[in-house]
Amino acid sequence: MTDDTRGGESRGARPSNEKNNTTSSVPVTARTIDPERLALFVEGRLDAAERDEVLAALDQSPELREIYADVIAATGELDTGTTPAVRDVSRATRTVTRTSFAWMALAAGLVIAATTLVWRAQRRAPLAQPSVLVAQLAMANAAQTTPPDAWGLTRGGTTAVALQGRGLRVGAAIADLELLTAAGDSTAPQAAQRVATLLQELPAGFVGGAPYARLANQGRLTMEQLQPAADSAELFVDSRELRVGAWLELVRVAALRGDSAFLASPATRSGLTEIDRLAPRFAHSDAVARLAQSLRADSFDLRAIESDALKLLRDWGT
Amino acid sequence: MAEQNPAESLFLRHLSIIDGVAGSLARRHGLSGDEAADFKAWIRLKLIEDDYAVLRKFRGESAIGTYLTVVIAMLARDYRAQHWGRWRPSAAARRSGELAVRLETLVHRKGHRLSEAGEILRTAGETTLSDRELAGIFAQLPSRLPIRPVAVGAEPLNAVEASDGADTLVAERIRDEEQRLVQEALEQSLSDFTPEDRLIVRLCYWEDMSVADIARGLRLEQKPLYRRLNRMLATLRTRLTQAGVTEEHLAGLLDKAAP
Repeated sequence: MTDDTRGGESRGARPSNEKNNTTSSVPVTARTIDPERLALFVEGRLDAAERDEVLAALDQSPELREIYADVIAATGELDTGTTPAVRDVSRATRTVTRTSFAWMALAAGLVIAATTLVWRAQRRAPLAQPSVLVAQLAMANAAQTTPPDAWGLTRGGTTAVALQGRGLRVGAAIADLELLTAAGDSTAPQAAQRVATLLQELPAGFVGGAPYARLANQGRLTMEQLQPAADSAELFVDSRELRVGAWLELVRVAALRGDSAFLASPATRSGLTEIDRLAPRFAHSDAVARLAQSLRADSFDLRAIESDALKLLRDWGT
Repeated sequence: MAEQNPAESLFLRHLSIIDGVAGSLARRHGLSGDEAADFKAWIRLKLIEDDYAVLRKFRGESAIGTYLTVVIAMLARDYRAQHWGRWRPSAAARRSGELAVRLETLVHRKGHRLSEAGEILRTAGETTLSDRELAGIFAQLPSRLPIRPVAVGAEPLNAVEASDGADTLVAERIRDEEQRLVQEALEQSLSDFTPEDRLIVRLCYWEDMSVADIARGLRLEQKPLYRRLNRMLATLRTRLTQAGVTEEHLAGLLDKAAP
């Protein structure tokens, strides 16, 4: 969008308390129309005179019509949750017929069925955020089991990593940060900087990385400070990959700490389900089947679990 | 922890809407895979640019979702102009759906052969149709030449058979002249309509919007709109016929208004 597209001389560019006071002699075009004014037109919130002005602009400007057609198509496809209904409720109520009732009943049935399916899917315990997983890990011997870096020297560096794998790496780095913070470790801000760096390498990621960069400048971190940053990170990478990355990192830690309770927990079962779901996105890794087998066994082979979790992180996150 | 800039906070809170609208427009304009990802990243960067200048201009008079949709549609137009020049998917491709738009984009904009386009679409999981089936879809689309120059290879030009003979060029000129006359007659006939009626006709035929979308966008009842459009077309037909426009040119105008 060019600068003059954003406002400038059109009436809609002025504050709302001025918009009814004067008329403009400047024709509104795609180059001069204020986006918020077009948004108000789309929402049906302009008065008659302003509406006519935008209608005339749309009539005259092919560029503006193209933009308008895109807006209507996008709002039709997506529920941006904002566009008021086309008809007001009283008119809609008057035109309800028997056929409409039948359709409404059918629609209601479908909504109930869909809601039930979603509810049932959610009941299949989606993998929790890293902070929730960390809370389930025993902290008794936390100090003696700092996990070795899964990616060695390349972690957090500027090496090109596929966007697909980046979610896992960010998740693992967040898990490390949460662990260090939970243990009151003074190096937690450095771990925050690693997460920030990973996020900053993504398109527009310096916004996603900003909350972690701010944390990196703090002297001491608390778990409460981490949550908003973690929520923000899930906007920039695939949240499922992020959570699986965190879970795999914590499986490694649990194996190193001998934390069988974590490995046998519902979180681990959810983690196994999630890696099955994610597997089609990545190149085949034999660590998936081995890890599942080890984690479903009656007694845990901790070394094998740690090794396979590490291999899977490297296979999918590099 | 330092306070977040309000515009940054607005951006983060509505990132799913931003990506959703960008994704929707990418599909509408035939982008997928890496191209769609590039487009989404470009949109994000434009919104962040100049310390979120676009978001700082939001006054809160409209809903944020609608505002973002308008802003992204404006940005998308700039993106297309920068990357594609004047090229855009044809109305026929849009009518036929996403696959036709992608197919047309790959062949006409990027210069792939139909078989290559088919391979690209199948590899990306966008279709399971065979080349023959895709050719059937492609045959329904208008023939167009790529706007941008295409590589011609090392073959000497005098060894390449001319694609258009003199007769074809003459026929094309006549067709262009006819189209110009029809266009002029149409503009003249439309000039007596109200701005809203003119817009409805233009959205329906120039932008190929469905009657349902036009009704939704202009907050009109859909069923009466069909009748209104039919009345307008009847008027147009009479005026255009009086202006000497042939039945052949009129035919295309009349296939859309019936409910």
